Amino acid sequence: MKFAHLSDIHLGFQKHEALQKIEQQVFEKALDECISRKVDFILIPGDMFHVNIPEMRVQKFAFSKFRQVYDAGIPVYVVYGSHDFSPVANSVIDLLSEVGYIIKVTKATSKEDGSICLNFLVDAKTGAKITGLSGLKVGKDREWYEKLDRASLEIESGFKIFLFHGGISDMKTESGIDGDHMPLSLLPKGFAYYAGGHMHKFNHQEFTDYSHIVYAGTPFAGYYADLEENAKGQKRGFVLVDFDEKVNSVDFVKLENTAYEIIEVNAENRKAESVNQELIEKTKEIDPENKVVIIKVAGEMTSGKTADVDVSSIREVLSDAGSLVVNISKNQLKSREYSITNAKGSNKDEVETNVFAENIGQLRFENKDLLGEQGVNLAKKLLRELGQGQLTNEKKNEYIPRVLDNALAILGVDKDDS
Amino acid sequence: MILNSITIENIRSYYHEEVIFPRGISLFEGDIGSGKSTVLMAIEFALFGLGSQKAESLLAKKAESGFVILDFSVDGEKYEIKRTLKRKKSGVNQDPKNSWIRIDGEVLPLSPSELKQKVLEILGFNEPVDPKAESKIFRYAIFTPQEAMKEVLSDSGKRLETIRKAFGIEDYSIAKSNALEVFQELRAKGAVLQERFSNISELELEIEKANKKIAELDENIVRVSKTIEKKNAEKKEIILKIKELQEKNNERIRIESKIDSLKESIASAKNQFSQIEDDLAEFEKELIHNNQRMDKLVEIKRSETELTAIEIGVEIKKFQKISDKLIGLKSEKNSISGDISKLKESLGEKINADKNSLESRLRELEKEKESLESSLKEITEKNNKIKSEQVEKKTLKSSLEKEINEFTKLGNNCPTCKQEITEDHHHTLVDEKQKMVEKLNQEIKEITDSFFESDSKTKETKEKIESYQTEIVQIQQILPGIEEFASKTSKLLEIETEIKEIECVKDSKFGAEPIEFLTNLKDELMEFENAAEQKKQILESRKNIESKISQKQSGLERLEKEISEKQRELVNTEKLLESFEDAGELISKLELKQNGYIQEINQMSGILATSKERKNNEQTSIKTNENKISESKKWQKKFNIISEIKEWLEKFFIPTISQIEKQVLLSILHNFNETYTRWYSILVEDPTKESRIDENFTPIVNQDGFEQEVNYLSGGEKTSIALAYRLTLNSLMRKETESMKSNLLILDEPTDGFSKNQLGKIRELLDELKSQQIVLVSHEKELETYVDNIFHISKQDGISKISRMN
Repeated sequence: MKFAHLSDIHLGFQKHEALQKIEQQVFEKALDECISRKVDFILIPGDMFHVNIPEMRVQKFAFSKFRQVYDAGIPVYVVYGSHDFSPVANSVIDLLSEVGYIIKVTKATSKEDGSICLNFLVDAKTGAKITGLSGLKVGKDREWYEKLDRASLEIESGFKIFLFHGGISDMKTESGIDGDHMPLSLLPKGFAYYAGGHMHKFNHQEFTDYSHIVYAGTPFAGYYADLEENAKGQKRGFVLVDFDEKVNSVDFVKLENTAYEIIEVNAENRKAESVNQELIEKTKEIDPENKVVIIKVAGEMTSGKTADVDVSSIREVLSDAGSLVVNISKNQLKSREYSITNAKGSNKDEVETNVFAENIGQLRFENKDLLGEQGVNLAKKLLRELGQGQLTNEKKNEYIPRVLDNALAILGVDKDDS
Repeated sequence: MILNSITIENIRSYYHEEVIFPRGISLFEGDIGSGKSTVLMAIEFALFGLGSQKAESLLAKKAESGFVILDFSVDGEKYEIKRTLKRKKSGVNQDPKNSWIRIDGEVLPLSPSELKQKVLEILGFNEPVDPKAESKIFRYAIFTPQEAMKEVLSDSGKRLETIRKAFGIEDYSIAKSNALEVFQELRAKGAVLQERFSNISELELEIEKANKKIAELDENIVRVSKTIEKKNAEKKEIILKIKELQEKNNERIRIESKIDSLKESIASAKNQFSQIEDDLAEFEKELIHNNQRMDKLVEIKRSETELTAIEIGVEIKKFQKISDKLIGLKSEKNSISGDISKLKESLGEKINADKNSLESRLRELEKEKESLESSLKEITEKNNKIKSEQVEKKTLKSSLEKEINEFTKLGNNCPTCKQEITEDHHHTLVDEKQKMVEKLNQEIKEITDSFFESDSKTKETKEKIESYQTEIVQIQQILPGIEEFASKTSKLLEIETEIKEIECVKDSKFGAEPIEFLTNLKDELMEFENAAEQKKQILESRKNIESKISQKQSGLERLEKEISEKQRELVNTEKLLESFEDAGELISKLELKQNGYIQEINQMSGILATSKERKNNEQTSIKTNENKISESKKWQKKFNIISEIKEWLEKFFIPTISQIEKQVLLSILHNFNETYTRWYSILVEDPTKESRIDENFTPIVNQDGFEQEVNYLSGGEKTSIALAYRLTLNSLMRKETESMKSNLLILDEPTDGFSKNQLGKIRELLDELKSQQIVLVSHEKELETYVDNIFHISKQDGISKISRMN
């Protein structure tokens, strides 16, 4: 007997048409694989969709594919993920469930003492007992797990599968998604298979009392970071499990999605200009046609604005060269010159006074008016005067002499000396 | 800025609406197309003019003109502004005659572009006045129209420029550029000044040289002055001597002149003496001549008449008049005599006929003629009557004859009714008619006879009238001649009588030719009177000459005496002259010597003056050079001051401006980013998404660390970013800069693309804003519960109406 475990498909996440196509293709390929491999059932522990109600385009192809799966007689067991669930509104999951293409496994009842009791759902064909809890928005699900009546679940006999959507702190994962991970101990013990969602990389670990805790990972991408991972060679697909009374094997079925190029630039201790230069050169080196291009610029520059690292023009160049999409990460790019930490005052006047005072200390002049506090005041007065723009209807050849006259008067220089 | 009220007339779909804006949050809600945005357009139009709006689209269709009056307050000061649109043939334009702003109760009529300038000034918006553009600051910080909302995300160039201007960061680059101008100016000034004090050492050398020269000149001056002094003393002695000699000489000359004058007066006296003697001889001669004339005049005697010459003149005139009249009468008499003889010739004997009998004959004749004419008229009338009677009768007769004839033809039928009648009766009818014809014939004959009789009578009368007429004409022709003859004859008699009378008067006491006689008499009388007058004159002249003679004779005596006196004095004076000797030669010798001294002294003085002049020149040149040096030193000092300022600008001021600019920008950016992030997080719940502002004030959205392209954001996200950005600008501008005096925020459909969930966020947002006045325009009914005031806008028959709901 076999079942498939897919998760975090995030249908509707992609915004670019090219990637939307890939997203659809990968989803359809995964389910086609399940049909052709004649799995007995399919588990999807959350985030099948990127939002609770995705656009019609997405719903259309999702329904169509699930209809095929249904027609093939393969039941689909799901829980909500953090993305396709809404506490206030309906979800497309409900729609699919309502028409019978998928089955929601969470059958919870609250007991008098406030604990939550879950019931099993038995797969007709295999007799596998399936239950699980949906993922909620950040951190909310932990409360649920804490109230979960685990004992009642643990005493149940048979081939038991638990669906969950969330991170487990005991699992060694390469970061991925941060957030509230819960300890393994919150899950009921002794299940044959723990089908996990929410973590986007395939992960399969075994623990005492908890055999086969598996994250199938996203089949393509549910976050932008997934695309970066893909570019770095992350394998994507779904999990195929062979079982009878127990799990015989857990295999990862790899699905191809698309080709990638990644450009990484370290901006540490460099000037914006030089970072830009490297970016342009590296762009020239790659062939972006029909590829997803990832650009990552990170590090603290010595000078220049982060905005000076002109990624939008590079995006244009790559698009023109036929790239599917260009994803740019610049949020780790900083500039020491523009760092806020060394602010010299809280308002303009304070800044002016402080910066002038700071720089006037090094000057040596006979004219005492140019030095010290007097010097700062003079500088501020002059700044006010010189900062005045051209007046309406004033011509340049009237404006400059006016400003000059006033400035010279402030500086105490006779205008008529020459 | 706080909006107080707005009046809209003929603007887009509005006919006339007035809205009072309350404080707090006001929602203008209504269906799409009901005219919500028009209210906002009207506010912006009132404040800043058309901008990029088309006047045609703002003015209500078919309206000739429309206006907006906006009442608003800034810093407690109230303003009212009016702008008008007017349709002309050439299109719709703002009407400059109907645009004004009321400040402090006083209306200032300003042109549309001046109004914008004024409003920018009032609001403290630091941006250029371009009448064709909207106020960028207003658009970003106070009000963004629905369609322009998302421009925040795309128009990065303009956005940065606006923010730099709004926060006054632009002032620093202006200041820097101007500071460089000042620096250049000072450098140019410095170069000019340096040139001016480069001559100091050269001038000092010149002063030294001049001082040496002065010392030399001083020595020379002392030497020459002493020599001059000595020569002057010697010259003075000689002058004294000369003076003494000249005095003596003067006395001698005086005496000589006295002798000359005495001689002259003696000669003149003698001359006078002989002159008087000549005069006396002349007087004698005159006396003799007068006596001779007298003798002749005595012989002329007076004529024997008592009349004076004037009276005689009157008489003469009288006689001349009479004579003239006589001549006139005579000539008249001749002319009348001529006329009379002519009349006699033409009238012959009839001339003696009696006029009165002729006139009575004439009247008689006329009367006779008149009566004849009237009887002639009667006869003629009678004849005419007879004639017509004759014609009548003749007609009657012929008709009767015709009837008789017809009777005969008809036989026994009635001629009238054509019925048969008896033969007797027939005969009776014919006979009757026949009788009547005969009677008529008789009557016609009688009439003809009488007609002939009266015709001969008429002829006779006519002849008589003609003979009378001839006689009347004859008498009428004669009558005036007879009249003239009578009058002329009597006039001739009158004239002859008058001539006789005058001739009688003429023959009086003055003889036959009185005029000649009187004229002679008058001449004689005149001659006598003339002689008498001359005699009188001669007597006076004689008396006069005699008195003159006696005078002259006494003068002669006096002269004789005087001459002898003078001669005696002359002898004495001549004696005195002999005692003086001649000093002239000595004087001229001394004068020669004196001139020598003068020349010498003049020469010396010339030398002295030249030396002094030269000394003076040198001193002047020293002074000039000293002035120049002090002037140069002044320039040097100024140069030093300018150099320091120049250096101060170059090394301190200009580089520091750049630092300040960056610092200020950073501080604003920091605050901006903080505020923006807060607004953003309120509006967007997705934890995977974060948004920040980069150094160019561009909003950047990151998801999972990757920058999101604006085009791929959802409508709600775009609205959220734009809204967050604008709220940030609004609150920061209020807080950070003094340039924007506004507590107002206008939000036009701020929730476009928002989910129901996000709509709920608006409440949180509005509370956070803490704006004194927020104007919200939305078609979302959902917002009603979050606001203080609700205005409902509806459109009926194409006209928008605003009504306050609470």
